[in-house]
Amino acid sequence: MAELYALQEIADPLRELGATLVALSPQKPEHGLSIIEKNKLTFDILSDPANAYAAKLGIRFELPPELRAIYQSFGIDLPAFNGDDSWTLPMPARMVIDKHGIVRVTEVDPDYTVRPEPQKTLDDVRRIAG
Amino acid sequence: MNLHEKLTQIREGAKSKIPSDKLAVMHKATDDLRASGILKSVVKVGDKLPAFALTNARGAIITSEALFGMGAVVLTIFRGHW
Repeated sequence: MAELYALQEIADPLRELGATLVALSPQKPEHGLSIIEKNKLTFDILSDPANAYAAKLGIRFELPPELRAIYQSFGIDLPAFNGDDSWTLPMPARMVIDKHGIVRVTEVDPDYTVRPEPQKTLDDVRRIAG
Repeated sequence: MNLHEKLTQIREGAKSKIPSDKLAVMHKATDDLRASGILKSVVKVGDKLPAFALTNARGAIITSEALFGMGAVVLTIFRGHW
């Protein structure tokens, strides 16, 4: 969430470069809508049921049973939020893809508190576009 | 506050908000995931991004093909609103 909010700061500069910013999560579309409205986001949030697309990117993982119990104790009901009972999640990831569909930058980490600055991504897009 | 500072604040906040036994399980799960070799299977620089057709928050189908028609794409993947 902190990451999406931070990325909103580069939404306009990216648009000026002709680039599209888009977010993706396994959550049902209605959760995406509430995030957009609450944080006044101007970019799309796509829904990836059961992390099927995340699996194609190689970032889907299954939560071990002990972690599921902890999530449940926090009220993080993944089967309800995601509309599937796979107990899978994507590793947090940010990718820059050029206009030909070729991946040019990947930033992936199992730890959600390790994320690149939005400015770094903006610089990456400038470099690729230029 | 930049994103790094904000995330550091979240990480430090978790230490006081989450009981240490639960935090230990969470950290171990992250370490296990990193040690599993999963990072080696992630799509790589130079690969073609797999095509997608996914529903946005307002119910419209968005395709990767349509996005690339406009220029570069920044795709950010997050776990959830929680």
